[in-house]
Amino acid sequence: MPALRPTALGAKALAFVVLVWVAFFAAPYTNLYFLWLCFFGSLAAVAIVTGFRTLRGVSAELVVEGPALADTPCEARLVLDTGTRPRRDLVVEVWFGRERHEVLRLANANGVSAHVLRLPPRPRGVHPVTRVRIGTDAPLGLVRARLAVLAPTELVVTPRPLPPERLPSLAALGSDREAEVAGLRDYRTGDDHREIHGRASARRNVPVVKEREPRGAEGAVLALDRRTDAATFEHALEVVAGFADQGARRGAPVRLVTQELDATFTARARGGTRAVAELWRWLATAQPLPAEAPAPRTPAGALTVSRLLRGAPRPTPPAGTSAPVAHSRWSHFALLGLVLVDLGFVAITGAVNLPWVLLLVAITLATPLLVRWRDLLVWRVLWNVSVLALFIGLMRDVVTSSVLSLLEDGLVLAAFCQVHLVNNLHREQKPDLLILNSAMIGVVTAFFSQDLAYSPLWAGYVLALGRVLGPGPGALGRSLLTLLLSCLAFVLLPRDFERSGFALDALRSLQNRAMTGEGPQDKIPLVRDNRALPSNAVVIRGRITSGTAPAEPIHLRGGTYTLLEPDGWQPTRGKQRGSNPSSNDGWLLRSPREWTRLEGDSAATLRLQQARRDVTRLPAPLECVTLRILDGDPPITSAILADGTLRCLPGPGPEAFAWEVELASSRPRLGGKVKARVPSELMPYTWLPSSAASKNAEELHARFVARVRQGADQHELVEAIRAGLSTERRYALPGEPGFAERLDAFLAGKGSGHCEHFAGALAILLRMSRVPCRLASGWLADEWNEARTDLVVRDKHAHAWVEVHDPEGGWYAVDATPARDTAAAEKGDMLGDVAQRARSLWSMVTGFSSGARVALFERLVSWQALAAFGVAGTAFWLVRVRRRTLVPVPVRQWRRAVTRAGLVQRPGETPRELLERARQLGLEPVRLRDLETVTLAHEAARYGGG
Amino acid sequence: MGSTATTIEPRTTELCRAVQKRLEDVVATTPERVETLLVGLLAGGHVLIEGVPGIGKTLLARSLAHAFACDFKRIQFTNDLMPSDVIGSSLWRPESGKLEFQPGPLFADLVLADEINRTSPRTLSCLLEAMECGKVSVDGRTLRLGDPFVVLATRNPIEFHGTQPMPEAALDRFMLRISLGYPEDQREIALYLGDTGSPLAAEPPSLMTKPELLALMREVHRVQVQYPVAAYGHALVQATRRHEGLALGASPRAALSWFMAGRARALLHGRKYVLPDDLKALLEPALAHRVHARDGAVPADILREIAARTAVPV
Repeated sequence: MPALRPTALGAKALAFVVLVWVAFFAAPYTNLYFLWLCFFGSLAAVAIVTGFRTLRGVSAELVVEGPALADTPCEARLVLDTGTRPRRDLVVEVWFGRERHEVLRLANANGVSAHVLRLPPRPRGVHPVTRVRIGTDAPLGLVRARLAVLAPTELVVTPRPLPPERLPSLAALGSDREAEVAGLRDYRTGDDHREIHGRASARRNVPVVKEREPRGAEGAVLALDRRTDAATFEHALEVVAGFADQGARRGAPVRLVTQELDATFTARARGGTRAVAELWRWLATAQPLPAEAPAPRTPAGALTVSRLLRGAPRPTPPAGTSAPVAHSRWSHFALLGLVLVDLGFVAITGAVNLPWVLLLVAITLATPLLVRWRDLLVWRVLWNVSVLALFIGLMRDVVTSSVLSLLEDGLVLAAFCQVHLVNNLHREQKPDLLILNSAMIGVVTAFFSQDLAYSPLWAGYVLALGRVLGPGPGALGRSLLTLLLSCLAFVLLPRDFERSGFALDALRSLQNRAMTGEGPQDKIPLVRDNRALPSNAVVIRGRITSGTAPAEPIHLRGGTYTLLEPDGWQPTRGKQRGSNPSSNDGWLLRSPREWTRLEGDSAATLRLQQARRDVTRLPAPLECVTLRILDGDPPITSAILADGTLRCLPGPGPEAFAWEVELASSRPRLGGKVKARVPSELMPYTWLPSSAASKNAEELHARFVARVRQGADQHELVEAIRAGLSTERRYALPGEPGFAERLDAFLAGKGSGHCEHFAGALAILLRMSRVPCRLASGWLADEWNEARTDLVVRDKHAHAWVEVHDPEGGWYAVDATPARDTAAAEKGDMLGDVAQRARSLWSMVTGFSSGARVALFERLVSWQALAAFGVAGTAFWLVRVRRRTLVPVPVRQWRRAVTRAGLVQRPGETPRELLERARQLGLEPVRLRDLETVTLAHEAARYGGG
Repeated sequence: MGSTATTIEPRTTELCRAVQKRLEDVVATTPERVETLLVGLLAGGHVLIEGVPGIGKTLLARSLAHAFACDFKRIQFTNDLMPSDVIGSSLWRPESGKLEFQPGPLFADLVLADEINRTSPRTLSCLLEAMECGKVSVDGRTLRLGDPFVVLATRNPIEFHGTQPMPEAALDRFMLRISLGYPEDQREIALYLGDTGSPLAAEPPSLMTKPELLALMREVHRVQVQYPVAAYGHALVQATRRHEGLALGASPRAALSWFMAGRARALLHGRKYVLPDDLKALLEPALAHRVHARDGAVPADILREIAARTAVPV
């Protein structure tokens, strides 16, 4: 059974994911963030399961034939059986004591195969092989699965035999030339030229040599005196090894006489001789003796090794081989470029300040230089401490900034991971992970920049995932499985959709102040850059407690802007208004928690509740009869802001507060004429700076006013300008093509704009006609449930419009912004439809809530869904059973018996040969009997058709 | 699929084993070589025996014929041997006033063609034609040769004095090739000591009759070859055709002959189905003389290498 262990990268990734989880809980809940975490979890699960499955059923055996030579790489053979499935990214490692050597890397392996590998050079001796393991870190390098390999328990490393040309007195071992000619054969490299048969070579036109029957010679007798220094002793052993090697090749015995040893060695042990393998082992372990040791007995006619040394110089030892490089220089630079492109992506989105990007670019460019110190522990510690410090800094930025920037900061973190990975490419990191990370950066960047680009990039990302998770037809399946797991985790895992982050709560309680939220802002600028789009986060939830919901969207006003200054619209300046009804924008304080605005009946009562604690204003529609702050504990402090809207400061408790508004049953009656002289209290609402009345605005104003009939009242004038603006200008969001960053460009028709453009332009045009008006911002609430009882106000519903003061009816709302859906419908092309569909699909993810989850569960437990699950499960089971039955039972039984016996079928080895090998290995009788029975049954079934 | 039985009668197996044992006793050689010779006989194929003179080739063939009670003839091939010396010739009989065909030594069940590479191409082609067809045409008449008709040819190592190389087409006629080397040391010493006795001094009775042998040869054709074994053989054959060291791989005829030999070996081992082991054991005897190596490579080595790395289907 394979064992699993996280790699260094896996440990880092785990630490990273833990920090991301902490950041997730520190901030308020966001669907996208949670989906991302689900994906990370699924990816980790797939990595673990894939690693496990890659080695499951694999068996291997390391075969070392003959002794290894000292200080020379030793060739060995790995017999690998992957069963019926192909495996990839296999690594074989050999441990000598605590030394680990990676000796083989296999990109792909299928079936039974043999691979030649080179064990690292070892000095002379008998080296215990602690363990030999086959492992894999596919597909992501996060987890390494390992499996023990059958291997010899020790490696006998003998002295390198001196080559024959350096060995004197080799004639004692006999010569091949004296043997009988047994036949002729074609010439092979290395053959003695004197053995070439001239006549046959001339006839066949190819060199032909005589093949002789081997004939044993009398052999050599070597006398070795071990009383010498270490260097001379090593040299002497090489001479003896040379004689032993040549003797084995020529079939001649070699007798070695030394202290405590007098034996004759032949290739195979016979009566009175010992196998040459024993001599190799002795040579591996032999040590010099001190000078006072007794001298060896030297037989007559023996070759004294000490004399032979004079005519046998030692060859130069082979140069050591350098360690393999994990990645080539070009691939490293290619990946470097990839990281730079990703950083460019991040810079384009504006998700990070320029100094951050420059810092990351600098580190990336310095990577080729930095990796020079990769083996220094100090460098690695410094680098990782720096990474941690930067990460903490980034986290601090995340916690203290707007909660909606969390994803943007996640993008920065991803880019930072890129830099970290590219700096560690020489280690266990795989470039695949880098590519995968790049794909994710591309996806998130697309989400921030343009919705339309998101879907194709997501598809590309799935393909990239398939590339990472493995080749072959199963790769796409694995990538889809990962995505399916992510979606299932996203849907099934219980969580608090309304959760606010603990970090924000802590900061809030410490600072006892409200955080700045989205929605009504301090000012509305005239110049817009490409900022991030508002999210689907729920801001306010509402419920009709009495009456019926209005048919039209509700303008929940949270702030008004009266003054048009060069940099944008500003609220009314002045002290915070108190309870003076005349200056409270119509609000009249009736009790500490109840305000009234209009007189009359109420059509419906709408109970509103803040969904995020950073919403501190009390948005209410303009047509509001009463606003009542509902009970809360601790008490809530309320006040009227300078712009005429209500503000509420809750206590330090965690509870979200709620308020109730009574909607007016009737709309104000409009119809007054435009007054030539505006009353003094309305003067601020008609004031227009000369810079605002540009030539473009005047032309537009003149064109719209020309459409109004003579004698028309103010409302008709307002409606004409609104309609003209609404139809002649297009709606666009920041980042979309044609978006006008300046209001003047929008007025000139040189670009499209969103609600703030339309509201600002309408207010300027109305003030050019001396119509009192002001800008209002808040939310346009129209997301009702099917029963139209529950209302959800999201961050993306933030809106801006104009409030006009009618001489007879007072203030009322005028909205010139065309509906975005209308704009898309007008486009009428297929691309627009697809974009709209993709956007709505994506909104299902971003707007996923507890209610949607409950509804989904209800659908899942319906009988249709259960039937579909049953059919799918049965089909899956049938496919599995079918796949299992494809492998005949006798074959499975035989494979199991072989595995039980601890053997591996070698390439070209028949079941009977394997059985014979098991007998020679001295297998346990029970196992052997089992293997015999199964082998015979297997033969009869597979080869006998039984 | 024919018979469902997967084993043959024990008596038949025992008889085959006894024959094998007797041959091993007669000629001091390895059991594998004797088994290969028996396989060739049972499969009805011709066997080429290579070896230097004096190692018991003739004795082996004679003993084989005697064990099965078959007619045995020996032809010593020489440079001046004519086809009529092999086939026979028509002689004028004055008493009958007719030409009477006098069969040559080829008309026997077991023919030992000694030193086949000494003869002229003309005589060799005559012999090869007889080996291929099992009959000869003389004076407009077609005469059947022995039943069974098996040629055991011996060949001295090439390029000995007076020898000629054999063309590939001639070699392809032989189902199996055996290299008969010198006996092992102990057995040769035992021969000198004379403790093995003289095999010809008192010939033991035949172990099997000729009809029994023919029945056994017919039984060979009923031995099954299942798909995994056929696929394994095909993989080996394909490997010989793709191997860099071989200029010419095994032909389909060679493969068919190899499988037939595999069937015979299975029967010899008491099975009615062929194992991959059968094909593997006969790979070298059946194919080594039929493939053509390039650059001085040894076909037997290449075949061993191919067998060592070709996966056996389980």
